[in-house]
Amino acid sequence: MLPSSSLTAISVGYFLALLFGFISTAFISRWMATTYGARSSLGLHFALITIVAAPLCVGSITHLFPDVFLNVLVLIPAMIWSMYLLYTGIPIALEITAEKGMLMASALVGWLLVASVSLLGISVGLWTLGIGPFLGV
Amino acid sequence: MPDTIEQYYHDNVVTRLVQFSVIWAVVAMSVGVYLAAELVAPTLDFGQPWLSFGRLRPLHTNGIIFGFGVSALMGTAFYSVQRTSHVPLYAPKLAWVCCYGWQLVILLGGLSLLAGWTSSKEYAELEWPFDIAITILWVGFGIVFFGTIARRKIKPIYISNWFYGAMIIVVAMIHIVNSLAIPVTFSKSYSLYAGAQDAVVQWWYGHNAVGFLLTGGFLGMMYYFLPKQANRPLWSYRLSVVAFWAFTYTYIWAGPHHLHYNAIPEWVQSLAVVMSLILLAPSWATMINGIMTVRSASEKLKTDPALKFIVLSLAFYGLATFEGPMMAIRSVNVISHFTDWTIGHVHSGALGWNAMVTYGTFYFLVPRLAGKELYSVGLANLHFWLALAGTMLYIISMWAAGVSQGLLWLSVDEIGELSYGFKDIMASMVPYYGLRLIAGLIFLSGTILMAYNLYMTMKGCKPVLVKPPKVDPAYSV
Repeated sequence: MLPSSSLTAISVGYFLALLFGFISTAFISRWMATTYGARSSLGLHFALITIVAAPLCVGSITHLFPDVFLNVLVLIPAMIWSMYLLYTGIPIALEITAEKGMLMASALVGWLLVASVSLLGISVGLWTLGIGPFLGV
Repeated sequence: MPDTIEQYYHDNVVTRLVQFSVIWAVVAMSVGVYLAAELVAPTLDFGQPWLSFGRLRPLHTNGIIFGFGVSALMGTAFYSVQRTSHVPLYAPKLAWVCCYGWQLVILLGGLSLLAGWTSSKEYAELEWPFDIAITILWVGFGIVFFGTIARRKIKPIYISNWFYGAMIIVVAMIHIVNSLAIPVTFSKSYSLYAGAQDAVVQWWYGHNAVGFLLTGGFLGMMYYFLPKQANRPLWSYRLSVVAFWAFTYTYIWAGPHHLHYNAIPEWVQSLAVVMSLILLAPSWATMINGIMTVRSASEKLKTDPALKFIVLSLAFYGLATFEGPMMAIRSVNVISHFTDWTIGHVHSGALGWNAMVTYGTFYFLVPRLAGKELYSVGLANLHFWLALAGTMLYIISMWAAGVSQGLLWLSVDEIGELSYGFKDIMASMVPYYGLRLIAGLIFLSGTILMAYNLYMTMKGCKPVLVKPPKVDPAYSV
């Protein structure tokens, strides 16, 4: 078990990363909207991302119980739900055709994948530099 | 002048290669799923050497890369080079020899791997008799391809042909150099290289097989079939040419990033890191070019299930080409190397990019080759969701497993002893491996649906004869 100071630092760090992810995704969604002829009000994009991320955010409460089976059981359906909301939500919220929504959702999936793997990369880089768990590197 | 068969495009060989590619996809992905099951329940090898992980794993990788991948690339290269050159294939009989010869090599090569023949070089496991056969067939492929371009009626050489051409030349070069060996018996040879030199040559080969076959070759496919499906010209042709040369120049240096912290000169490793990071630019230039080409063609999605596979493949291409350079950075690599993160990275490319762009191409191509509508658009749409779900679950489970392994392996206590044993760490991987097995099953079931859909589309059809159109005098040779 890590000391509570480390746990606090990691929790705060990830919460900030989550906030950054949320805000940047809304801005990127608005940036993409012009390409697909969608509505570009920032508030609308914040609302869209809030709804899309809701299942994952609520589901992540299971992180309080660090059991892999439980986490998989809760978070995988939550992720599928979020993906469903992304693909079905964009055409409705941004008032574009389902086909354009499909293109934009796939482009946003690209960004989200890159963002998640960046978070992994940044975390790993920080651990190697000595911030976080004590590693023999 | 009466019509002769020589005036038509040679599409029968394309059809046959597509069929073989689909068969290999199902076979080699099934082997992959079996391997995933073995990692959850190791006794599934039933004590049989030929069912052991060590023998099935190269069967899986060779079957996917050379069976599924190369058959698809050969088929689509033959299809597109005729259309972009406005002439039928050069040396069509040789094209047939390449088609069937290649399948024979994969079949016998696969059996030899099961029998335990191996050079022990990753992605180049096949022994020397197969290496020679591959070289001959590959040169044959090159003769047909470049011969067709040489006879072209249209002056510009379209960008897809540059990518396919680069694949043919570079793969020939790396295959021949890396496979140089001294045969001892029919089934055993020893590499010409030793020690660190062997490692550098091997990863010069390994990385550029990924680069020029799994990336360059499939980019050729994307550059021809995406604008065709979208019925739009490329967003920026100039950008595609810049991306091609930047990609070709940069990729060839990146191999040693597989050898960080190994006994090779540090400057070689650093050079590989720098080149890997630069590689992001041409990769994303291509992704942006693809996305912008398709952006105004959304109405095609209503009728054509193929296009969405290619659109999504670009998202995963973006991920894989970002993740790769990131993992080449030393401070990330020290954690990620030798873990399942690498397996996840490979599959975000192989499932998300290679397989998806190929599926999209097949759904476009097969109805045209068969002269019929696709048997079931509904099944193709279902396949899309299965492919997306399977890929996402696969990479997420491997990210989680990989980062856990990297952290746990390197964890040390106050006196510098390793905190966890290797065996205990691997035992804790079962949930991730279970999830990966489910992901593999989902992806495989989608592929089987496609095989059925394409079979029903092709069933009983007669070959469609297509003639080269007249060339615009402004572009004629």
